[in-house]
Amino acid sequence: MGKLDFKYKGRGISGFDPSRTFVYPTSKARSKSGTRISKLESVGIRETGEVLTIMSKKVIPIIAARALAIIAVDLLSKAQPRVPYDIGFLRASGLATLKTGRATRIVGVGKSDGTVDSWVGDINKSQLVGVRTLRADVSYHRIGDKGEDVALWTHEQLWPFEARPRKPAAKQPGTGPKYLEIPWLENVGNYISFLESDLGGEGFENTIVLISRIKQKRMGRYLIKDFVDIVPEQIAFEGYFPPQLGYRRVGRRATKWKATKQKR
Amino acid sequence: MSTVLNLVASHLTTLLATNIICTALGTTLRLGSTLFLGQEPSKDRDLVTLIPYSGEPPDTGGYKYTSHVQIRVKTDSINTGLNTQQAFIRHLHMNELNGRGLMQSLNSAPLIIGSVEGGEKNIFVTNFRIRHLRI
Repeated sequence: MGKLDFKYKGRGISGFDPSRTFVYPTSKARSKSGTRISKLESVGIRETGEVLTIMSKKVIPIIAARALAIIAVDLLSKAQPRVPYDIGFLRASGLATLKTGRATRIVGVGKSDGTVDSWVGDINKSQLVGVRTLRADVSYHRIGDKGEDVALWTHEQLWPFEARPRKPAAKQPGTGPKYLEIPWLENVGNYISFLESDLGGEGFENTIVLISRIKQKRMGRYLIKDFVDIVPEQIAFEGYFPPQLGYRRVGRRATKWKATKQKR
Repeated sequence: MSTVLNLVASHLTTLLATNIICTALGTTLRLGSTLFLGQEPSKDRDLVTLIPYSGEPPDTGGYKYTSHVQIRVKTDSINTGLNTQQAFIRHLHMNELNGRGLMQSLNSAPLIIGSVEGGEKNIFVTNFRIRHLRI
């Protein structure tokens, strides 16, 4: 069985700017030295704590899980055209899974025509309660009629087709050995930069913006005009087709993402 | 690619008969008789073949690049094949090849890809990543 796996371990958040803590001067007294002294009253500490709780328990696990799932599905989709086929059983055995804690979920399957079905959007926060370790796998599994491991054999047999002692149907143009390892090697740099961006860089900030809702809120005697509320459920409506991996966004509204993949 | 093969092949041909690889295989490695590049004769046995394959895109700075090579052992005996491949992993993993390239095994154990036609010879493979750094 050909298999690749990769892990992400998340343990909370760091570097978060508690932007919902507001400090307002309530008087304009001056000290003896003439320095202006304000009597301070802080507002929003409790709300900031709530945001941090939502971020650490709901938002970040979903973002991390979906980022890993996207990479697994993307790798599967890039491997599929290279998988040798005769009647398509090997291609149809392609599997992208996401292990959340002890549970394993299928996030993508290969089809015999070389395409992929995926369910990245089905990952939700209820599946990630208490999960501290995420792991994604991409694998192929096919045992031939004579008991041979076809997935392994076709992956590791590097001889030219005509020189092979046995020929289990792998002579279609564009298909061949290392059908899973080479797409991984070709794209591993993109995957690393995508994870860096999606979990800690500009992509992460954009995600926070997309799942935030700015509204007015009265807190005591103050009216906060730019109260930022986090809506984790909004993630489900955002498409995850990152441009770093060769996808593009179609439409104007954030909720109108379309999984249109660029031609390679 | 041929440079990679020459690098690994020249290292293997310098191994003494007491080396764990030669001991497991039962013979020293000589180019053209027990060690082949790219493809081995179909009827011979107890031999090693080095096959390069593509890898990561090159570093644009030109200071490092990574290449891959598959080491393939064909023997009559499953025991000999497994022991030889395990010896390759033990000897080559994290071996710097005299400072010219760091070899890293991609397998912790040999892969058995079955027997050739007729069933009398078995093929075992391991894959290595070779990291080159220009100092």
